[in-house]
Amino acid sequence: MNESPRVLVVDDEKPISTLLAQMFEQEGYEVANAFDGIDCMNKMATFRPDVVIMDIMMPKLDGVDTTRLIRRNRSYSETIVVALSARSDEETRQRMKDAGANLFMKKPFVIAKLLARVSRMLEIRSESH
Amino acid sequence: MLDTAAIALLTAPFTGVVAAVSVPAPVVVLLLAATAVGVWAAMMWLRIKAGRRRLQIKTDVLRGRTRTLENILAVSARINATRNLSELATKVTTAVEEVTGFRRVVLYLWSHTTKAFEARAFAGIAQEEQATLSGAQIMPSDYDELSREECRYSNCYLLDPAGLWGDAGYCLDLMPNSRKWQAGQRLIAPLASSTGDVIGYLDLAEPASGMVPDPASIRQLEFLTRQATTAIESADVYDHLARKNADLSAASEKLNSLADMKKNFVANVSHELRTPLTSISAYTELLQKNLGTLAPESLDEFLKVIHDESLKLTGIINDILDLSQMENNRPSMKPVDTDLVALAKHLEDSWKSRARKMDIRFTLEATAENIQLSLDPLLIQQMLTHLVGNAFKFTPDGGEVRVGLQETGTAVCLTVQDTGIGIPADKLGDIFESFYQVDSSTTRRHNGQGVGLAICKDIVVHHDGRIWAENVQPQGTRITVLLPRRPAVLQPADPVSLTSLPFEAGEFVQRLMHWVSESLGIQVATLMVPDPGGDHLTIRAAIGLPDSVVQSARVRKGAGFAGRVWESGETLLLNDLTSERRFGRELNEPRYSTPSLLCVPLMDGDELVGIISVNNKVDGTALDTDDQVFLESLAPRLTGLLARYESWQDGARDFEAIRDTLRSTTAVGHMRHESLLEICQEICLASARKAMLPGDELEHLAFSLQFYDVGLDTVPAQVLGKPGRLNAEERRHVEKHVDAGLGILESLELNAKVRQLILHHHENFDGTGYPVGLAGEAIPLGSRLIRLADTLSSLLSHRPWRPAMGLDEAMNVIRGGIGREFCPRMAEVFLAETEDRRRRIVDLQAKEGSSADLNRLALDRGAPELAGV
Repeated sequence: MNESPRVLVVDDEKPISTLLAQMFEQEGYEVANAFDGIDCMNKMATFRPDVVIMDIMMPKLDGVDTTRLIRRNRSYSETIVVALSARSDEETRQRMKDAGANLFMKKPFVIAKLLARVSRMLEIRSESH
Repeated sequence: MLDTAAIALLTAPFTGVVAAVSVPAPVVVLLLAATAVGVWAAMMWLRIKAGRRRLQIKTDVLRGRTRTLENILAVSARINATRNLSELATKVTTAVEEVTGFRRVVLYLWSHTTKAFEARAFAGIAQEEQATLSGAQIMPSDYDELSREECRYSNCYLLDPAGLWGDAGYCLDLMPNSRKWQAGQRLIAPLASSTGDVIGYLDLAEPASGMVPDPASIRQLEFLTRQATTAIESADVYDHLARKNADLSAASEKLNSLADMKKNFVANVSHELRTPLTSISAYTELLQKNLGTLAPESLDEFLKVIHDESLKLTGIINDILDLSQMENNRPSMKPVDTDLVALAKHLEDSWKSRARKMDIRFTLEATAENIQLSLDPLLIQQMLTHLVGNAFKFTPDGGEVRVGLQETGTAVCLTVQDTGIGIPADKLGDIFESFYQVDSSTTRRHNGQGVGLAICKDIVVHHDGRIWAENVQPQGTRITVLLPRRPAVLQPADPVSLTSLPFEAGEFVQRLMHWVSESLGIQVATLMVPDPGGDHLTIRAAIGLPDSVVQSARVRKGAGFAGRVWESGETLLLNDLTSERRFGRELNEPRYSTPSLLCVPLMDGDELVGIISVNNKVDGTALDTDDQVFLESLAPRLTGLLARYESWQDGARDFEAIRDTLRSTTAVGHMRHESLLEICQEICLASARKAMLPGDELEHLAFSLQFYDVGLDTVPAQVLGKPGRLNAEERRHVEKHVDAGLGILESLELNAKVRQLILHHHENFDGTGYPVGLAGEAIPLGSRLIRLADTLSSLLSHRPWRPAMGLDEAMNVIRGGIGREFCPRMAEVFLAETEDRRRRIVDLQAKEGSSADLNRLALDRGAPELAGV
């Protein structure tokens, strides 16, 4: 890996979003924050993240629709989307999967586990290239 | 012998000829005499034969009419039993086709949405043409073209586009007996409601007989259209009720939605719980991992996040526990009468102690000592606790929290005001957003607010109320809750049950009142009727009033709301009693919980039979003109139902019995000097037209003339047929025939005006008649004319106690009665019209004279009190 992978944390809950940013930075990722779906789409173009940590219940544009928008753009087809939601019912999981999320994790989550999964997925992606 | 001589004279010129062929003169005379006898015998035979044929024709006509009448009665029963409007429209057209013999029938009905008449049902019209007709809208101006006065024929309009008959008006008496129906002609029969509104019309063409219908057929048609109008109006009312029922089911659905809320509860609540939990768990994990390396500021920051999020979690859990506790206790909301002030006072102590701890001033103010409201006390207590708790939470020490309870006209207003931090203007609308939203993609949060306000909103909405928040100057927030007054859950009205009632005394009227109250959505409905003395109103039936009020209430004419309505005979609608100074005192009565009242008189003709008064709308709103229109449209029906109830109470008279009576009555009725009777009716109608009686009253008169004396059937034949004067008891029998007749006609849903005409047709101008003893102009004009027509036809006919009078003698008798039996003004017009028809009357009398035997056989009737003249 020549340069640090970039992570975009999309969550409207300030404490969570701050914490996630700190964690990923500590692990050596380059991190940006977005606070709703629209914000996320803007930062996709400028920041070009490798991983998006996506909350579902957000103002303006929710996580499901944002993920769908990301997947519609072919240049983001390689981007890993990790859904992170307090809603863990089967219906929400399925909708997120259909929208194109690569991974679903429910809140509250274990930070170490999240970091491990993200790192593993990045490995798989680079191996397949 | 005279005949023989005359023939001899007439044949004199031939005598010479006969003599010339040398036949002896006596033989000629004999021959001539024999011929004369033969001719006379032949003439007699022909006269008898003609008489028989006339009798046969009359009998046939009568049979035909009886059949038609039965048919009409059956058809109207069928129509009246139909409530679905389109089905009804089809039935009406079929019935009209069947009874009147028109091959093309189109029924147009007024549409309130398009403000035009639209073709709704057809008979004898091809499919393609039906489609064309259905598409067309007949505007009121188009209808005016169809109903031009010069085309008027009775109450219908005979359109003659070819102008074959010139522009002469076709009135009942001007109309020749038979005219050929011309191609292109149309007969328009309006459907006019009792208030005179045209709710639709029938467009008729191509009679099977090929003739323009005669006045009798037109009357049958008009009878049918009246029945159809009533039925269509009923269907409209039924429609209205059906909509009301739909509203009620919507209301009960709303009650059930609490159960649905519960279903979505778990899914939604998990999200609310997990959000703060996520922060707590993540920060805790971070702390554990990095405890040794963290800077003290970071440690402080992390711990603050964990603490804040824990508090948030506690708040949410408390809300949820409160709610679930309530949910477990009840499956749905149960409103009971509750004193809201007492409920608030009950919580006041805990609020006060909390206020002391926080150094906050707390006040609870109510505008009344008790405010009764139908609500769920547990839910409202939950709401109050949360709203006041919230106010404390956001108010800094030294601030103030005020709770106010206030009665407005239709609702109770609860305010909770604090001097706290206020709510950002752009969040004011969001803070109540429902916690229970089903749509999981919705992007909302209850940051900092927990779920309490959303629960509060749900509670308020389930009480049909409103809740909103506003910021107040100089600082703080005010939450306002409006709770309308409402009763326990309503059961949907069942209009069908009214028609299949067991006639237990009192129950009928009580159910009628339930029906009214449920149709209008009101809590208090009262039916007041005049007592037998006629100087007070008493409550006959009531909904929503204590028995003590029902039993003791007595209202004088002119006093109170009902008394004023009684006096004026007009509807009283008060939208805001508080602004009506003249009613100020009555407002203190506890039964007026909303300052709005509607009072509608039930009129039977000019007579007030009752007053319906309603107030306290379920939804707490004021009664409006919509309610007024609805109740007023119900009023004639209620009057009819009440009248029918009274007659049922008098004794069982079923439809079959009425029909049988009518059948025998009309059969016998037509057998008496039909032509003379008809000419008297014609004179009567012509006089009415001269007296400028308006069109609809003419129609009522024409109808009344057919049926006014059906009640004579209830008078024993030996009384009616008795030669000489009647004794007092026999006279009473005869006098009762008017009421009896009205009883028989009850099933026909007679127009109130027709009933008035029939009721008073034996009143004398000087007030000595029966059954009421009205005098002068108080007697309906039509009744005064019927009195004249009845007398004239009776005088001109043979009676068991006297022979038929000549026309001059009869007219003299009437002249002699002017001012006593007869109205001078009407008698003058009537006699002039009679004079105009002298020739026809004299001719008819001459004919009738030859069948005197027949008259004697017929059951005779007339004006027995004039028997002496």
